[in-house]
Amino acid sequence: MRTNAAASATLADVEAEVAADEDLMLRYAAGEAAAFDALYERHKGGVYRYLLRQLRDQTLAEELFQDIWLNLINARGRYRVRAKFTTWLYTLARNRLTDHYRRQKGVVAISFDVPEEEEEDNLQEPEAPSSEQPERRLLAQEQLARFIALVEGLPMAQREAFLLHEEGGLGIDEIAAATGVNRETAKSRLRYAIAKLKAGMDDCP
Amino acid sequence: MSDAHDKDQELENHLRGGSALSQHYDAASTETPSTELDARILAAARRAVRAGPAPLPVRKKPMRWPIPLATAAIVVLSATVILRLAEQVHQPPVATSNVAPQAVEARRAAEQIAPAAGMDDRKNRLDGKAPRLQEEKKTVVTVPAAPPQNAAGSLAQPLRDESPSKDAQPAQQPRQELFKEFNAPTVKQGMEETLPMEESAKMKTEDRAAPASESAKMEMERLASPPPASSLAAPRAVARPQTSSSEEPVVFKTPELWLEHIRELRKAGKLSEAEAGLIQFRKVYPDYALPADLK
Repeated sequence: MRTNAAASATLADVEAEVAADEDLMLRYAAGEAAAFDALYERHKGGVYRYLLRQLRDQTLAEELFQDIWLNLINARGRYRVRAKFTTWLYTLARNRLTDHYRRQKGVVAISFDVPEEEEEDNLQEPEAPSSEQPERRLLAQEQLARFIALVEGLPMAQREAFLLHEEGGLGIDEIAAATGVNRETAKSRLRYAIAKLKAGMDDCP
Repeated sequence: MSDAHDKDQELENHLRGGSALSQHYDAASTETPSTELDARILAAARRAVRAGPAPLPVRKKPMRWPIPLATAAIVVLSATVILRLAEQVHQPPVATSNVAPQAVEARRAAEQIAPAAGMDDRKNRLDGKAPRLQEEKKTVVTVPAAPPQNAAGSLAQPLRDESPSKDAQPAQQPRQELFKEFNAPTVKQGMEETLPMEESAKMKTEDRAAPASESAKMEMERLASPPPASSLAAPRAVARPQTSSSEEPVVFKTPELWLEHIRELRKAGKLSEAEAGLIQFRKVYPDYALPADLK
C-alpha cells in the first residue's frame, strides 16, 4: 500500500481508498467477480513481497501467496467490515505464515516476540546474497539490493512490523491488531527496524 | 532522552510517509507474483462466484451433537444409578420384615430346647424317612434363601444375589459367627459331610439365585406353615452334634463346650449318643487334640 504512504496522499484519500477496499470485498462477496480483480490487482504485490521478504524463497512465497488468496475467496461469506480491509488481508497472510512456520518447526527457529534486549543486540549488518554482490551490479542496484538484504536481516518481529507498514500501509494500531500485540510493542518494533535500517544505510559507501 | 525523542520523531516522519527509507524500499521492491499465479487465483475467484453465493459460515456438524449426546448420556446414567440406589435402600426393610422375625423366633426356640436331644431321632429320620427327605430335598432346592417380599420385584432379586443380601443376613449371621468362633479349617466341607442331605441341599441353594415367582410362592407357603426347625437353622448345623426329637439345633460356640456336652452324655449313660457326638466332632474338627478322657 505504498500509494497510501505517499506524501501527497491526504487522510481523506486514504480513507476513501480503505472504504473502496472494503466495498470491493463486499461486492465480491455478493457475487461480483470484477471486484475481486480490482482488489487483487491492488494488493497482490504487497502481499507477495511481504511473504517473499519473510520467507526469502520465491517458490514458497508463491505457494503461500496462493493459499492466502484462496482463503480469502473461501472466507468471503464471513467478511464483515470491522476494520481496514488490509488489516484483515495481512492478518490472513500472517496466519498462513505462522502456520507454515509451525509445520516447519525445527527447520526455522521462529519467534515473533523478540525481547527488546535481543533486539538491541541485533544491529549488525547482514551479509548480502552472493547474487547481489556489488561487483556484478551497478551502484544503484547494489544499494537497493543491500537495502533489501538489510530488511531481510532484521529480526522477524521488526521485519514484520516494517513490511506491514511498507507493503500493507498499516499504521501502528493496525500492525498491533494484525500481529496480536499491544500498541507500544508494535511501535517499538517498528522504531527499532527503522533505526537499524538507517544505521545500515549510513554504513554503505 | 533526546535520543529517544529523536527516534520517536524519526518514526513519526516515517509513518507520515515519504521518508528516505520508504523511498528506498519502494525503489528496491519491485517483485510481483508470476502471471500464471495471477491467472490461477483470478480463475479460482471467478469459479467461486459462479458456484453460487458466498458460503455462510457453517459450523462443523460434529460440533453439534457431542455435547447434547454427552449430556443425555450423563442424565441417563445418573438416573439409572439413582434408581438402583433407591431400590437398594428400600429393599432391605421390606424383605427383613417377613423373614427375619421368623428366623429370630426359630433361633430362640432352638436355644430354649434342651441340648440333650436324642441322636436316635435324627438317625431314624435319616434311615427310615429317606424317601420323604429326598422329596423334601427336591422341593427345597428351589426355595431361595430368603424370599423377596413381593415376587414381582424383578430388580430386587439380582440385587440380592450380587451383594451380601441384607434380607438374608439375619439368617446367615449365626452361621458366619459360628464359623469365626469355631475357627474350623474346612468348615464348609466338614459341614456338608456332616449334614443330612436335605440340609446340605438347602445350604447349597441358599447360595444360588432362584426364580422369583415360583420359589417365592413356595417359600410363602412354607412360611405360612409352622416352620420346621431344620429349615431355619440350617446355617447353624455345623455345630449340631445332636438334635432333639423336634430337630431343634443345639449350638456349641466352642469345641470345648461341645466336648463338655459329650462328657455329660457319657455321665448320663448315653454312651451311644456320646460316641456319635464324638465322631461328629472329629469330622468337624479333625485336627483338634481330644482330651485324654474322650479318646
